[in-house]
Amino acid sequence: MAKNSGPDPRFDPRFQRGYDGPEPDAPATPAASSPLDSAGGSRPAASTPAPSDGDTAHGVADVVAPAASSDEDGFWSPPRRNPFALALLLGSLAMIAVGLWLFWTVATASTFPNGYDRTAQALSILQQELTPALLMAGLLGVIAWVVLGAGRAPARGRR
Amino acid sequence: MMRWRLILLALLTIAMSLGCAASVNAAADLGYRAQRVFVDVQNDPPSQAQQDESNRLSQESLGLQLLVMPLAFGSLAGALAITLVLARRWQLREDAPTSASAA
Repeated sequence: MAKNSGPDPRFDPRFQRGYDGPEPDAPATPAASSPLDSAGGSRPAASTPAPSDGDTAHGVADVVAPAASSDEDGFWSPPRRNPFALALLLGSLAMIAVGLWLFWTVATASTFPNGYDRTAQALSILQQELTPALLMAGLLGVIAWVVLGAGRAPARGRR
Repeated sequence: MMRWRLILLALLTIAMSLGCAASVNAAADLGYRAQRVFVDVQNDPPSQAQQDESNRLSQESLGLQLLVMPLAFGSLAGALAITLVLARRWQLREDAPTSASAA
């Protein structure tokens, strides 16, 4: 059965195999409008360049415009988590946990460290000196995390 | 603008952690050498000079041990401070559009 080599007349020839014309740079038919677009057509596209009518002093307003329009559209996006604050909290909690573990091993040790073993002596010094440092730094980190969150609270309250 | 301060803080943190490790190593070494005099006290009792030397080494070891905790705390706090600064910068960057729209 011979295969028809010509373009299918039902579709645009630019998007069919064997098309030898200029490159298609835009869809022939407009894409179906999404519910987001139909809900609020005023939202500018991400790739849309800013209006260059000379008002470069309004750069902040240009940055703010998408967020404000999304609020007006009724769409709410969850606030992004601060990864560094999370790292601060997790690091502090890890320090406290390691400090407590070291404290427990020192407090429940059944023998004194062997003074004639250099490695055992170094580990003993590390245990005894690192435990309070870890606990202090961990608690300080937790306090810093709380202070960091408290500094942001008024900004949320203004909304 | 503030990047060099952050780099300085990171360098200080690294220097303090290295100092802490060096202090622990030196203190353990001095303590070991101080105790070595008394390995066989029954058969080979240490002389007065050896005991004085052992005391001196023990004191130096204890002195170095005093440095370990502040250096360890400094390095840990420095690491936390770097994270705190980065978190604060993130917070300010995230809050900037909100505060601008509120104004």
